[in-house]
Amino acid sequence: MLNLEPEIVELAQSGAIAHEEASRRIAFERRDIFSVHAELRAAAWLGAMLIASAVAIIVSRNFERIGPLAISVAIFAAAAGCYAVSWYRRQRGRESLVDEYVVLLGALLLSAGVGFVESQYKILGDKAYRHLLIVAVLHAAAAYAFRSRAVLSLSLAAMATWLGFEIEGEKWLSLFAAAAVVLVWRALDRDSSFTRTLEHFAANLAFFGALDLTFDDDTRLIGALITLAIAAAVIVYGFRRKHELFVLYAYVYAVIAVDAVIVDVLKHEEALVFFYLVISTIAAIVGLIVIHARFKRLK
Amino acid sequence: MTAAEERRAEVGLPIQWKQNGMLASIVFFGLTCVALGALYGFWHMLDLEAGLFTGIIGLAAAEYLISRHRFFGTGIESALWIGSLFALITALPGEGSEEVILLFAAAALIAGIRLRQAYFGALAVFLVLAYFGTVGDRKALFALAVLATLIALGALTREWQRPSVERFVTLVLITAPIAPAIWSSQYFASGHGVPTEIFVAIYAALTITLIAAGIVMKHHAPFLATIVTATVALIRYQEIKPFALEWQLLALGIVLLAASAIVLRMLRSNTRGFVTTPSGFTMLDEELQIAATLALQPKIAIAEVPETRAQGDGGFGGAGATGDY
Repeated sequence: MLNLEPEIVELAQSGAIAHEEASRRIAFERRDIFSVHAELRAAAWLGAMLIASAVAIIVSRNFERIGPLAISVAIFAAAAGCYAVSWYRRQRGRESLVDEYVVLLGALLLSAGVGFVESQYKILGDKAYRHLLIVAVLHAAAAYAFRSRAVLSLSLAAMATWLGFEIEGEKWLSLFAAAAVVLVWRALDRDSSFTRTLEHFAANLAFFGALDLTFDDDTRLIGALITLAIAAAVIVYGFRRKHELFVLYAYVYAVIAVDAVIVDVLKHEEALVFFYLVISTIAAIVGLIVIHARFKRLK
Repeated sequence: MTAAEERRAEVGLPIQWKQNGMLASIVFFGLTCVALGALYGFWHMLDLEAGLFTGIIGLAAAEYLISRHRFFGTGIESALWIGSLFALITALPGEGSEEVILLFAAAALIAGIRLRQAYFGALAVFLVLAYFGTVGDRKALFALAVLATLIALGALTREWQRPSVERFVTLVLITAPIAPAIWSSQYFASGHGVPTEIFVAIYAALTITLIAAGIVMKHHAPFLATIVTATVALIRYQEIKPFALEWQLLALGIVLLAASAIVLRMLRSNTRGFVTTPSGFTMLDEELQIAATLALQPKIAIAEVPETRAQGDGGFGGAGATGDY
């Protein structure tokens, strides 16, 4: 097994890390300390997903035997139980990483339950898709109550999907609307642990909307310009926050948008299209090298 | 890159080579593959030998970047090397046969050795296993996969100087057990396979061995490999004991959650040995988990399709799962 102790010592001697940090890392290298946090986290996540999947299959296969009322009650009771257990442990100051996944399980069951109830009892009539708004609100409440980014993501996804149904017509409109909602949410958000998740969702929803315009024959140019504008804003923001992921995907989205426009112009000359893609991609790589180098210096 | 330089790079000490972090490397790798693919298409459109020209230009560019600009670990030279070798293979005469998989394996191995790229090396091993699966020799595939897993596990006990070698061994340990599972599925029914009972028994034994090894060696790789072998064993076990899948999933899910909670409780006050200090397999663990959760949200699908608006296959429920983006 690899042991990087000499290099860590050199790192500490160079002043790059404090001696306490070096001691901690050396203890890891010597296997004096071995954290199983990642394994336990993976196991707990897998457990939650398997249970939720099992419940879905059980209901699907035994629907006629059990009946919709019993199923609904059971699912909601299970979801409530998950939240109750986690809440109780949280109040007692005994929450652990497993509780995060018990909450996730509760959220997954809640999603399935709300959707199931709507499909069986048609409470919302023609607007059945509005159950996604209910799910989004419930998940948002749970996310803030339990400070769970995973449940927050479920809420954001439900909200975006609901808007996709609610705003009929162009997909880009619902995507931009969803991005706007998330941006407002981000502005109002007081929990800094959610900031990055909200920002990434807002950025990517906006990019999806812009690319939807870009890949439409009638709105290609305006879509590309909007994509470039959003990319510029996100890259600047990424530099300001020193968060490279923003910079990387904004750059890639911008490259896609520019290529879409040019390829559309050249589309009748296939060899020229490929030649252009070679040149443009090389240029994109060189540009990203420059940006990446600048980012590293900034950090 | 020397072993000393690799070790220095692993901890963040300055070296003379240009490298990128994981995220940036992936993006550069992807962009370079696009460029190579476009170059291949360009030569093809001109009715020239696309594979040959692309391969030569790509390899020349890679070596230029390595020797003149000290690129090593940027993602660009890796993509150029492996993409070019794969392109050269397409230029070779002959009709497609299963043996071409071995050529791709050799290409991956050459690129892996040249660039000290563990992923390419592991890909080479997997392609060799894939060859046996493709020609229908599933017994040889199974034997080789188990052997590769055990050799990788044994290799992990040795102290390696190069991080790339340890990474290669880790990747082989995790990916080798997957190959027999793929080629024992219903899609690859040709050839005679290992009897299911023996398959399950050996994978169960591997699982126990890996867990024990992980505990003794205090290494993440055996635990990761355990997930693979246990999953494969459970899937194949379905064929022997057709227990209702949903109850197996439920039982396994409860066991995993309970086991996590119990282990956490046991280790919570440890400050030495096994601890539960926050850590991750990669820097993107949480993001990957969130993406997987959104993608794998379970849906309740009832045979009678109720009338709902634009629901497609009758599935419903699951936040975001009914969307159409």
